[in-house]
Amino acid sequence: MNTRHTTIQHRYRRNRLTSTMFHILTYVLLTLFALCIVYPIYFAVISSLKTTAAYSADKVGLPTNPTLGNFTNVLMRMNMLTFLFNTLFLVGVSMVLYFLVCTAAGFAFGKLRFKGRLGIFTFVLFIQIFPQMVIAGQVYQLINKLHLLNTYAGLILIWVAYFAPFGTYIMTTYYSTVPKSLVEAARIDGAGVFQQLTRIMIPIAKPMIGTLGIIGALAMWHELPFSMLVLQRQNLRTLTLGIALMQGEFGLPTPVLTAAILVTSGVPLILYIIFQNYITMGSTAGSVKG
Amino acid sequence: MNLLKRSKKFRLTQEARDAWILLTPLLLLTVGFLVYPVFSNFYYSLTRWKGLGDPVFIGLENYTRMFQDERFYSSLKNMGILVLYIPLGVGLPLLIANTLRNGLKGWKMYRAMLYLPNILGPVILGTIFSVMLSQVGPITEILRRIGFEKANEFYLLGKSVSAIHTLSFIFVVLMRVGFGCIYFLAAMSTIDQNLYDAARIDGTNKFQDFIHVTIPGIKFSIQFFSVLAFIEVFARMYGIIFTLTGGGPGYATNTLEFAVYKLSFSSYQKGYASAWAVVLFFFCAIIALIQIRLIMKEEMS
Amino acid sequence: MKKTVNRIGCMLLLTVLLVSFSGSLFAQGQKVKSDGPITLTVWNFKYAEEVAGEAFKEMDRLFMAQNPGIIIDHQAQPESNYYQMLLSAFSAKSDLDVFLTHTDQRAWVLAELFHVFDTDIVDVIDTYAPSALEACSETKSPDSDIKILPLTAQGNGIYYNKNNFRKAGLDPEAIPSNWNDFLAACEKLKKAGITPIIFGNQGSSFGIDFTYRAILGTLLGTDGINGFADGSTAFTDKEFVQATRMVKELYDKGYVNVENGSIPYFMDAITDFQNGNGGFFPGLASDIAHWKDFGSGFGIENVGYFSAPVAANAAFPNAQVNQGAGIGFAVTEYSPHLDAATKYAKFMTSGEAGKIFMDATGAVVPNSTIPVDASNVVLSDILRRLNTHGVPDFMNVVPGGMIQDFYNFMTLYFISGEISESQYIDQVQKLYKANL
Repeated sequence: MNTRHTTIQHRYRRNRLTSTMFHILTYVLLTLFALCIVYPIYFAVISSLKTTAAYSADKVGLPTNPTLGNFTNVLMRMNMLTFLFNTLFLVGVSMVLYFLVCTAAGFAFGKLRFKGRLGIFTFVLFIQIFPQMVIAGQVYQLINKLHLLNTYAGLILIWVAYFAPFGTYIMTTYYSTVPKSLVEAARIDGAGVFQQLTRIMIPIAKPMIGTLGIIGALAMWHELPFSMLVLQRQNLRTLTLGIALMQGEFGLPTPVLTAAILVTSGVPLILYIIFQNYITMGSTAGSVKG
Repeated sequence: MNLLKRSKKFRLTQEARDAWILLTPLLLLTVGFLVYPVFSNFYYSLTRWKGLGDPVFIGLENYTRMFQDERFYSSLKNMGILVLYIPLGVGLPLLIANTLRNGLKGWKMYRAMLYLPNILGPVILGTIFSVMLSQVGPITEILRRIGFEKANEFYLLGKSVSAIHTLSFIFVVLMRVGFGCIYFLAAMSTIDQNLYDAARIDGTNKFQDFIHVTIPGIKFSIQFFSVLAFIEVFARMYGIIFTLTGGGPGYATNTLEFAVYKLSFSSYQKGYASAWAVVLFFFCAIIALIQIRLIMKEEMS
Repeated sequence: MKKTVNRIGCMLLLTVLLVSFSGSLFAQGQKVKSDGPITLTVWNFKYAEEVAGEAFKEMDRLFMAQNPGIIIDHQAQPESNYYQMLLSAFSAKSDLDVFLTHTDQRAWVLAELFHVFDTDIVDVIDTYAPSALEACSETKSPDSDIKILPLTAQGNGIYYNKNNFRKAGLDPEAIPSNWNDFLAACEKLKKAGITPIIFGNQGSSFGIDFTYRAILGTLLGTDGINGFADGSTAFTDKEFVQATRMVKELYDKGYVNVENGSIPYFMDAITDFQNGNGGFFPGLASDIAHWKDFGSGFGIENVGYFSAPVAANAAFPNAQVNQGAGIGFAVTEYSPHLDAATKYAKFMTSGEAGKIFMDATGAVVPNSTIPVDASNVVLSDILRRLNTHGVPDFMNVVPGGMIQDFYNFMTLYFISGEISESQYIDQVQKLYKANL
C-alpha cells in the first residue's frame, strides 16, 4: 500500500518537474526565435528614421534626430497607392477564382470516385512543383500569344493555374475526411453538380477558408517572376515589384531601403494584426481551434 | 433487382461526370498554362540556345557538361544541407506546439511575432537580413561594442560554410516556425482527449504522451508539413537566395533552381539551363509521388 | 421550375459580373490605338531612381512639347532582371520601341534586334564622341553598326578626400598615383585613424571591381583589354595576376578591412565617403559615386582624382578607363514607329535634353552639343583624361554572363579568404571560358 502511494507521488512530482522544464525550454526557444525575427524589423525601423549621414555614423543605435524624410521620399517616388490597389485587386479576384477552383477540384478528388482519379491527381500535383523562374520565360510566350500581356486577366489566370494545384491538394485532404453521408444524401435528392457545389461543398469548406486564404493569398502577394513578366507597365504593378524597381542599378542606401520595405510591408502587416484572431487554421480533420 | 442494378451503374457514371465537370477549370488552367512551359525544358535541354533566335540541336552535350560542372555538384551539396535542416524545421514547431497544447501564457504575442516572416515574404526578409548581416552592419557593430576583437571578421554571408547554413536556418527554420506552430497546434486539437486520459490512467508522463499519443495522432499533418518543406527547398528559393547572397560566395548558396535562373537569364544559355531543369524535374517528380502515396495511405485508413 | 430559375439567375449574375470585371481586367494597360498621335513605349531601368527619374521626366516633357504628334510612354523596369525582360520582349516581339541599355556584353547578345542607327545619325554623327560611338557599335567602329546612342560616357578612377589628406599630413595636391606613393599614403591615413580606402562589396563587389578596372587599364592597354572579348587575353595571364596581387596587398595591409569598415553595401559606402569618411574611393566618372556625389558631400574643391594606382612596371601608366558609353538608348528593329523612335533617341542623347540629364545627375554626356562647365576643375580633368588616354573597360568586354559569379568569387577570395590565389584565378578563368 505504502509503496504504491510513494510511487504515485514520485511520478506526480517528476511529471511536474519535466513539464516545468519543457515550459521553460519552450519559452527560451520562442524568445530566441522571436528575437531573430523581431530584431531585423526593429533595425529596419530605426534605420529608416535616420538620414544617410546619420546611418553612416552610427549603424546600430537609435536615431538621434529621427526624420521622416525617407518615408516621404519613398512615398513620392513610388506609386505606392497604385501598387497597393493593384495588388489588392489582383489578389482579391484571384482568390475568389482560386477558392472556387480548389474547392471544386478538391471535392472531386477527395470525395468522388472515378476512373483515373489518382493519375490526374498526380499529374496536377506534379505540374506545379516546378519553380516559377524556370518556366517564367515560356509562360510569358504563352500569355503573349493569347494577347493577355499587360492585362490583369492574364496574370490572374497564371496565378490561379500555378497556385491552385496546391490548394486543391489541401482541399482534397480536407474533403476526404468529411463523411460521405452528406454527399450521398444530396445525391439521392437528385441534386445536380451545381447545387451540390453551392449547397454542400462550399458550406462544408468554411473551416478551411482561413487556411486556404492565408496560403493562397500570401503566395500570390509575394509572387515575383510572373508578375514581373506579365505586368510591364507601372500603373499595373504590384507592391512586391515596387521594391525591385526602386533599387535601380546600384541599390539604395540602407535608410531609404528600409523605409521602402516598411512602406511595402505596412499593409500586409496591418491586415495581419487585424485579422490574426480570425485566422482559423483548419487541420486536416476538420474542426478548428485558433 | 434489375432496377437496383441499373440505378447503381447510373450513379457511378453520374459521379464520374460530376467529378469531371468539377475538375474542368483546374485542368484547363494547368494544362493550358503549365504543361508546355514545364515540358519544353526537355526539348531545350538537347539544344544550344541563347533564348533568342533558333535553338541548335546538340544532343546530350549539355548533360555531359553538367555532370562535369563544379557548380552542379555544389548545388546538389547545398540542397543536401538545406534538406538536413528540414527535421529541425519540422521538429521545432512540433515540440513547441506540444507544449502549447495546454496553453502557454503570452502565446498570442509570440504567435504574432513568429508568423511575421511569412507575412513579410522571402524577398523582404532576404533584403533585411542581407543588410543586417553585412560585414559592416549592425550585428558586427554590436559584437564590436560588446568587445569581440575580431568582430569585423564575423561576416556570416561572406564565408561559404556560414553562408549556406545561415540561408538554411533562415529559410528552413525561421520561416517555418510560425506557420508550423499554428498548423500543428490546430492538428493536435483534433486528437481525442480520451486517448490522453487513457494514457494517463496507465501512468505515462508527458514525454510518453507525446511520443505515443500526439505524434501518431497527427502523423498525417507531420508528413504533409514535411513534404511542404521539401517543395519549398527544392523549388521556392529563388527570392531568398537572390536577395540574400546572389548565390555566393563562390557557388556556396546555389541550388538547382537558382542555377537554372542564372544560366538562363544571365548567361543566356537556356539550353544548358534546361538540362539542369530536367534534373530538377526528376526531384520534383519524386516529391509529387510521395505526396500521392501519403494521400492514398490516409484514405485507406 | 424553381431549379431552372435558380440556375438561370445564377448564370445571369455571373455573366454580369464577368462583363463588368472584364472591363478592368482586359482594358488595363492597353494603349489608345488611334490614327492620331503615335505612342512610343520606352523602357528604362533608371526611371524609378530619384535623380535620374526626374531628369527623364523633364526631358520627355521637352520632347513632347517640341513634337506634338508623339506621346512618350515611359516605363520603369527593374534593373536586376532587365535583360531577362528584354529577352522576353524580343522573343515575343512585344510592344516596345525605345529602351535604355548598357553597352556591355549583356546587351550585345541581344543586339540582333537592335535597330542600326547608321543612316539616321548621318547629320549629327560628328557631335558624338568617337570613343562613345565605338562603344555603341557592334563592330566597335566609330561610324558603322551603331546600335545604341550613347547617353553617358563612363569611366573608372580613384577619388580622394583632400580634407582627410591634410589631416593625415599628406599634400592634397600631390597625386599619389604611383603605387608606392599610394601605399605610403594609405599608411599615413591609417596612422591618422582614417580608413584609407572605402570599398562597398556587399552583394556586388563594386569596390574590388572598380579597382581592378583601373589597374588592368594600366597593365593591359587597349589591345590587351580588347583581347578579353575572344579569349586572347586570359585571366591566367600575368597582368590579371598582378592586379589581383595588388588588390590583395591592400587587404593584407589592412588598408581596406579596417574597423570603421570598408565592406558595406555599396550605396552605404558611397554615403560613407560622401560624409567625409575615408581617404580613397574607387569610383566612376558619371552618374554615381563620382565627383558630383562627393563634391556635394565634402565640397567639390576637396575632391581629388586620378586615373589609377600605377605599378612600377605598368606599360600604360596614363591609362584612363573609358567605357566610351556607359548607357544609351536603343530602338527595337521591329518597332512600328522607327522614325519617331529614332528621333526620340537622338533627342535624348544630345542638346537640351542631354544637358538636363548632365546637370541633374552629373553624368558625362558624350555629345559636343552639350556645354561643359569649364570652372569645374575635377570634371575637366576627368574629361581630359578620358579623351586623351582612354582605354576600354575590361568589365564591358568580358562575357556578361560571368559577372555576377565573378563577384561571388571575389568575395570568396578577398573577403572570406577561403581559397588560394591559384584556385581563385583558376575558377575565374573557368567561368570566363564557360561563358565565351
